[in-house]
Amino acid sequence: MLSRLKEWFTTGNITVRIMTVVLIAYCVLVGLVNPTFFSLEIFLDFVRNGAGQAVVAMGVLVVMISGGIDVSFLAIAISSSYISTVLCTTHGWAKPKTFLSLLVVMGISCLVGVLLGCVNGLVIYFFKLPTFITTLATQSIFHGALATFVGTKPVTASRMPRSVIEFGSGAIFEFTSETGSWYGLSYFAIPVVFAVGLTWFILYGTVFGRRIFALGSNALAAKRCGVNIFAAQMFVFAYAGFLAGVMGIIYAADLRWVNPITMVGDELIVIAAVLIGGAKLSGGSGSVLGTLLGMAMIVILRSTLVLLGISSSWNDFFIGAVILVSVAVSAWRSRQESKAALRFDYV
Amino acid sequence: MSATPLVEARRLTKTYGGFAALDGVDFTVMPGEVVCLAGTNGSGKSTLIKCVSGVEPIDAGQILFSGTEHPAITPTLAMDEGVQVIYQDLSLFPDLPVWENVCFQRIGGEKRGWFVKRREGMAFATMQLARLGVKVDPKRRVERLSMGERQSVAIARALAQNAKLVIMDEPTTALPSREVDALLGIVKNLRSQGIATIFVSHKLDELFAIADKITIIRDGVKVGDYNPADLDKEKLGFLMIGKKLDVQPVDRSAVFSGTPAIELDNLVKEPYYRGVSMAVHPGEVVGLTGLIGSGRTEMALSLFGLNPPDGGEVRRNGRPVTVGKPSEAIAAGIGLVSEDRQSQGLFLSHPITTNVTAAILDRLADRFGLVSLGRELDVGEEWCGKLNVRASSVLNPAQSLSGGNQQKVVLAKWLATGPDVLILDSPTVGIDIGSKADIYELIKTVAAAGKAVLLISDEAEELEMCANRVLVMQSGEIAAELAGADATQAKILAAVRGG
Amino acid sequence: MPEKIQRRWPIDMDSMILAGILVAILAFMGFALGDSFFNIRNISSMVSQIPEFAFLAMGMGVAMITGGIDLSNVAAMNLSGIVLALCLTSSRLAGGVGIWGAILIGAVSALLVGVACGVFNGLSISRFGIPPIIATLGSMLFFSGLGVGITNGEGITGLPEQFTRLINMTIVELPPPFLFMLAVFVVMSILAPRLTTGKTLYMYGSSRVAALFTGLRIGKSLALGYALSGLFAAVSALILVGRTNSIKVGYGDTYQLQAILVVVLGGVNPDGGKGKFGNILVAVLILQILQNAFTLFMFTPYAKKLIWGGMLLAFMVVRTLLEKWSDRRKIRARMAQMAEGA
Repeated sequence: MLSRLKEWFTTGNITVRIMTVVLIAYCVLVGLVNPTFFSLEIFLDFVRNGAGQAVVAMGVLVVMISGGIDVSFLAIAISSSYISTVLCTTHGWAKPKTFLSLLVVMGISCLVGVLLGCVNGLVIYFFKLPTFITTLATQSIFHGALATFVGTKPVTASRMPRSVIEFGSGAIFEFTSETGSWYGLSYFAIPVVFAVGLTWFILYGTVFGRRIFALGSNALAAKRCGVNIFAAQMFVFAYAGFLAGVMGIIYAADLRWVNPITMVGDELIVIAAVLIGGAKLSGGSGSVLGTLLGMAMIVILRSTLVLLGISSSWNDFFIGAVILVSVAVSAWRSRQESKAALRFDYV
Repeated sequence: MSATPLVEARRLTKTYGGFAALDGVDFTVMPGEVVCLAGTNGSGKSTLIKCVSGVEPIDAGQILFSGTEHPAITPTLAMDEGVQVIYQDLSLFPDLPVWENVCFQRIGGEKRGWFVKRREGMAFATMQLARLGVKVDPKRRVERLSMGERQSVAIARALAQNAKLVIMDEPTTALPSREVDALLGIVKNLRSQGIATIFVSHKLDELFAIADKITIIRDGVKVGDYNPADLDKEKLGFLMIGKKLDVQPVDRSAVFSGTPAIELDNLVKEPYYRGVSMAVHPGEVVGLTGLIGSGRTEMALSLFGLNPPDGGEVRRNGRPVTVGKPSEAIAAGIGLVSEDRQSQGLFLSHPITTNVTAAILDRLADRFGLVSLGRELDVGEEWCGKLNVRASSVLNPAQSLSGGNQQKVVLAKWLATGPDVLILDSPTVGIDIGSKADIYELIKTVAAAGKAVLLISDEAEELEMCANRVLVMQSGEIAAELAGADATQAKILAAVRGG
Repeated sequence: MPEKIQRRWPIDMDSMILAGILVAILAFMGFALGDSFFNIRNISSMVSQIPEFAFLAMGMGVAMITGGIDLSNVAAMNLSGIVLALCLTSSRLAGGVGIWGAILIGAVSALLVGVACGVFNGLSISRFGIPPIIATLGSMLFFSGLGVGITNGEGITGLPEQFTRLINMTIVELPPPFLFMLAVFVVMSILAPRLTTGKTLYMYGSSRVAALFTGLRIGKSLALGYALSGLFAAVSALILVGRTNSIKVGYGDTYQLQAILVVVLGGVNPDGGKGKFGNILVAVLILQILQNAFTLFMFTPYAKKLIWGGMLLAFMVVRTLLEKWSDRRKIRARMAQMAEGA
């Protein structure tokens, strides 16, 4: 086991290695300054707070590996969760507080997410548009269309399907802390494990996943090798939409409230996590583990600055700094490599 | 010969927006045959390959695989019929490991399942590489391999798919010479296994070394199929080009002495070249040749500040200079016409004038940094006139010009900087024969004006005509110097191939 | 000589189409809304809203001409607005140098902050080779994080009225920021294609590798280009702060998408190398008139959002189709030429 670990550490992905070291070092630092950091309660809190973003980060990772970028997932998440909860409450579906009813809500949400993702995929494939500006535009379109054509009235906790509320408040296992309050591992851990496992399996275990890597690595070669580029491109955006649908329900459950007007969350954080985790904007590289570590880094940083005695107002500043430093390091390294290899793609 | 051809193309026609890249070409490959496809750049060779491999749909004609006609040829169909193309860029996936590149079509195992069969694929890839006699760690990412290793991976990938026909598009350009011999060995090996090869190369002696049949294409039309025994280089060249070049060879009796305009002393840049010493005098044209990967282009880039050397010294007019970036090269009076005209030399969507004045903006600008448009236009027109650039307006975008005129624009850009040293890297690649003669004359004029010219070229004929003496590089070192009566095409070619 | 004239007064398809759209929209407004659109009050309110957005759009235009993008310019605008507001509300500063001294110091430091933000972007792109999307996405978080850190995320209000009056006064019915904006557009359209730095950035945008092989000063020019984008962001901060009498991180977030929209609409190729500031101005006017019309029609902000997104997508699709069509036409023309020659 130890030798296996050692082998992984010496041969594995360098970004993942650096990340691991930095993350551990930071945790030790925080722990030294404030020993309350090393508690199960805080750790379980991270899981809960980072769950939605971790799920959707997997989708963004897949898009980035294929050589694109998706910034429309928040709009997709809000659209799909709103449509799904509204449909379920008006039609009385998903009334009982059962697992099945949660699945119905989740299923509708994912379906809407997939459809919207397909819109992205179709436009980008058929008109060969730059993915960033396109998804920026569709983000606006999706959100604008939702508020204009579906509605602007928020779904409140009292109207929300009970199963969703239960999903947000319940825990897989629970503890009582010394102060007498309850804490536990939120149900949100389940979709995270599901999304990570599924993405891992697709990317590393299926032929199709390898095709996605191939497409991002060298699109022309992929075309020549008979890779179905349409299918791959449609899949990555639909998959990102699918996971955005999951994220939407997680947010709904967390906040007990779906407001179609405000977009909760930060798309930047998600994209940053994927980038910090070693994905390249040009495609072909990126890892599930790295993305998880990147997500962990940001979630931990965000909630521990207070423990270090820094006001939480400075969160974004430090996260921005971490993003810039990490992308600068990897961009610098690949530029040096290109220079040495006399590839002039670095300018 | 009544056997069914492996591939038979009948009256193949392919047009791009009205321009016939292929016009009624007949073409056959028998099983196990090595067919060499010869033709100048733009003659339609690449298009033919694309059609046969299904990458480009054909407009008219038929392609039969083993006698069977198909309504439409897709890349997948061509691959199923055993046609494998190794493109010049190799079409590998740099981010994926070697084994996935080799068995790309069967990552899912022999039955092409849905799931990655890692162990099976790895073993299979190792076996394919062993067939070529190459040792590469199948777990390494292709990004980290040398050019030769990458080439092997690409061939192994073709073999891995039960190729009956391997199409190699200029496979030797990026290879060091010993690996070229290894490659030719592999082609012969394939023939003995009954696998046919279409071999595209500019290097005529490679064609003669392995071809069973030479098919010549010119301007999208087939000139004919020839038995290599019936051809010699001169005749082949004539058939490819269609006419003979009419240029006076350079005067070889001239002697150059005094302080060289540029002098290299023991210049080193690992892993590209080492111990390179040479000098070019004002008024002299020094030819530099060698295979791609021999270090010639890499050295030129060093002189231009894009590949800083590890050691040694560069002297301009006897004084040491360090050139760390292109702007410093320009300041030191060095210009480089790089080999890739389209991507490195030109701003294709910008007007001709902008391209001509691009390197002298600072000089055209007044003290506020403003470049007067009238001034820019004057300079552009002046140079286009001098170099005889044929364009209806100097404001047309550079992409509207033909290859030869584009190259003249790049030359104008560098001549406008008034360099003392002009490095020309493969200046006539892909240029029609008329413009070629113009450029040869231009090189002579430039030299006569007292500039030192370093002419890098693959074409022995070009060197014989233009260069006062010729240096030959091999594996990063200067292997031979041919001057005076020695600088003949035959001797240059022999020296390049390490003879 | 006609060539020189052609070069000096270039009339291209983009300009014609844009002018056509502008005229058509104005005509439609006159027809559909009549006096409720064409009245002094409405027009002057429109005119006062244009400048702050126009400067952001110009900065975005500079970045997109280089083939990049500047996603941080709204954040830079907020940051320099905060610096300005802090200077203006500092009683110690006003006590020391007087209110006009404080305004001067505040404005200069705001502009310097904007330039610093831009140079920061330019260097991270040219020195480290970070792709512009990522570099400016990161710096967007960084700049706005800095702003939130300084202000604790709260707004700054209660600025001295000397400053707001300065920004909101009128010269012959027109506010000075608008006149200044027009002047800057004129200067930019004349200088951008003529200055060496401008030329370098256009060329860099069209082919980065060729720019390298031509020995152009890429690093310096990129830093200057993004610095200009930052400077424009700071200018729009001055106008925004003066107009709203307050500043808070998050102001002007909707400008981000709209800035990209007008730049694309103005004919700037997102891949870089092409674009005219005059056309961006026309696009800004079009957007503002539409914005105004939507308000008069009482569209919700979401409907606007939908329309802006839809327009951006539609323009990119139309652009691709037009390019395909003109490529085909060019090839045909060239073939005809060759046939003639043969």
